[in-house]
Amino acid sequence: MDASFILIAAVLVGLYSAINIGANDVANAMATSVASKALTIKRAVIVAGVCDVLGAVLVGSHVANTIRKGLIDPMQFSDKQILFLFGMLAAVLGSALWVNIATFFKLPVSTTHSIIGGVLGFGLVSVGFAGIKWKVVLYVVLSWLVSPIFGGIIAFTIFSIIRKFILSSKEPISQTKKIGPFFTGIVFFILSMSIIYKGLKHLHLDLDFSKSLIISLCVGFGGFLLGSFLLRRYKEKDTDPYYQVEKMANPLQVLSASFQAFSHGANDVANAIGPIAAIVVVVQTQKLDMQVEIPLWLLLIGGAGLAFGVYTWGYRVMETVGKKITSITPTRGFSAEFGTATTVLLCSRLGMPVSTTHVAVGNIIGVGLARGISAINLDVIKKIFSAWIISLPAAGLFAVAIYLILKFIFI
Amino acid sequence: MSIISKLFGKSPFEPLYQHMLKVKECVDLVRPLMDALLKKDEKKVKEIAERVFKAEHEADLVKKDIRNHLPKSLFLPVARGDILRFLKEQDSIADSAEDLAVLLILRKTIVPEELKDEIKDFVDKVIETYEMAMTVSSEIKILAETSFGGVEAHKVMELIEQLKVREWEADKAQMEAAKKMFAIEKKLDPVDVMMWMNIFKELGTLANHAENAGDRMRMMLHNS
Repeated sequence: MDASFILIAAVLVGLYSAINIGANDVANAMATSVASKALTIKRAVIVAGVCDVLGAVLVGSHVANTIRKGLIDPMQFSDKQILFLFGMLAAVLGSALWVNIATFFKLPVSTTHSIIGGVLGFGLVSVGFAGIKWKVVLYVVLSWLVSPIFGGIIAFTIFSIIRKFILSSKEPISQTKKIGPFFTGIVFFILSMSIIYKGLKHLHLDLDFSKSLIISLCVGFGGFLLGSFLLRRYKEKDTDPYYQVEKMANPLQVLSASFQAFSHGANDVANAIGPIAAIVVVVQTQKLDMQVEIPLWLLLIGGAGLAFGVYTWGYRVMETVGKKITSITPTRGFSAEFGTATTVLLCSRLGMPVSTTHVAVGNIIGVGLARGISAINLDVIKKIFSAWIISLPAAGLFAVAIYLILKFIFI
Repeated sequence: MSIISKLFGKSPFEPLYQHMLKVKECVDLVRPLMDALLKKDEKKVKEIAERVFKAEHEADLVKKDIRNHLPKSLFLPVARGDILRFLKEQDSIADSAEDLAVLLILRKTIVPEELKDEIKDFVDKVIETYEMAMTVSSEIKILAETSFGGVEAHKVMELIEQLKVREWEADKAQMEAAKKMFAIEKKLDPVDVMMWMNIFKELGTLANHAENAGDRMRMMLHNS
């Protein structure tokens, strides 16, 4: 089979998958911001689009590396490269098809679990049980269990701070002006560290820990000053002080929403183009050696696909989701989004593919445990477990079917 | 469809506020009702009583709606039982107003001239008690915003202390009215006496439920 044909097919499939993810998944990431009215849907779409692309390009390579070479060692295919290409293609196509079908039937679905299922499915059918790096798989599964809890703890802590030092105080408005800048500072710090520490390889800027730390502390301080400036300009009015605190928290939530969209791009772009990256490298270098960096243009295409998906179908999903949720305010939204973004970004840097949606659920429950949310349906947790149990095998089956079909037709 | 939207349940706090408004509509009619009785306007008593019945029914509908949306699987910032008990007490305030209206339309009850002042004073104190309870209840949305703690919770706790004082004042006024009535018992028709004891009792119960609602609210508050 002509190599360039496979390459083009792969990129198209990756794009299709990215658009799917953007359409269905991003609404979950932006739901809390739209519901609390911190962002209009138009603005949410723009923020999601831009930040998803940035996240994908600047931090997306780590998780993509896990998916393209971390689960199955490509070297096992040295005498049958074409099977590896078919398999990676089948994984992406299979998981994208499953996401499409599950969404159509209104089943809870995780795009992350689907792609892992797809890759593992192909692996089991081609190199068998022994050919899969089970230690990595174990770490990935552990990250699925740990990430919502970890995020929930962060969200609980952030909202508890907001509750104790702002909402419970005698002067909520002046407290917001004092404490708000710390939050903006920390967000900027975390963003900076996650991008530059041993990152930015495309700019040939591989910075070590101390250099990254110093730069990030400066960026964080800049964020502190920015927050300070924005909040200080607010003039206290005669209306309900808590209503005013929420208004002041609006820009904070816009920041955390962008932060969350960024982390979503960093983690989920790999779901679409991780395996595609493997195909691209093999076709371009004729070797299975995965030391080559994931090409920037591929990350860009993945990010653009996410953005396009958000802009088209995702718009409607966000409208529906935003209307259904009525009891979230900017302070709560910020706490949940801060926790989600920090956790997802940390997992992205560790190369762990996690479900942004499930982490977000854990965070919202964390805020609820801190008495921040009027009513939470705990039986949703059952739906999360069922999403795990269904997505992995279903996507795996789809991937196996497509892989076998491709093998049959072309070999 | 989206897991996130399914995660958020319907908040009970706005409906609790609406329930308070419905109860207020009902109990706001108590003073005009008693005024009509004191003026011996039988027709007006019947007319206002009908309005009380209607308002109490509407409050019941809101109460049922709240109860229908509080499944056990719902996680709230306050205990579900505390919310339900508070709701019951607040609803009982309207129930007492209805029971009072029923008493007044059962028969034509005479107001003894000598008791008019004590009765007016007693009704005033009961109204003041219930108005304080409404003030406490109306803070529920702000309490939800501040997670039932902090400065706002302390403010509400102080209001509840004032509510208790007012209920005690209403109790005293009830005692004065009953004592005065027994002081002139020889001059009164025995059925009127029995009727007035029931009316006093019902007014006293209204004030009691108002205080209890405050107590139930107190149980939802945190010290921090």
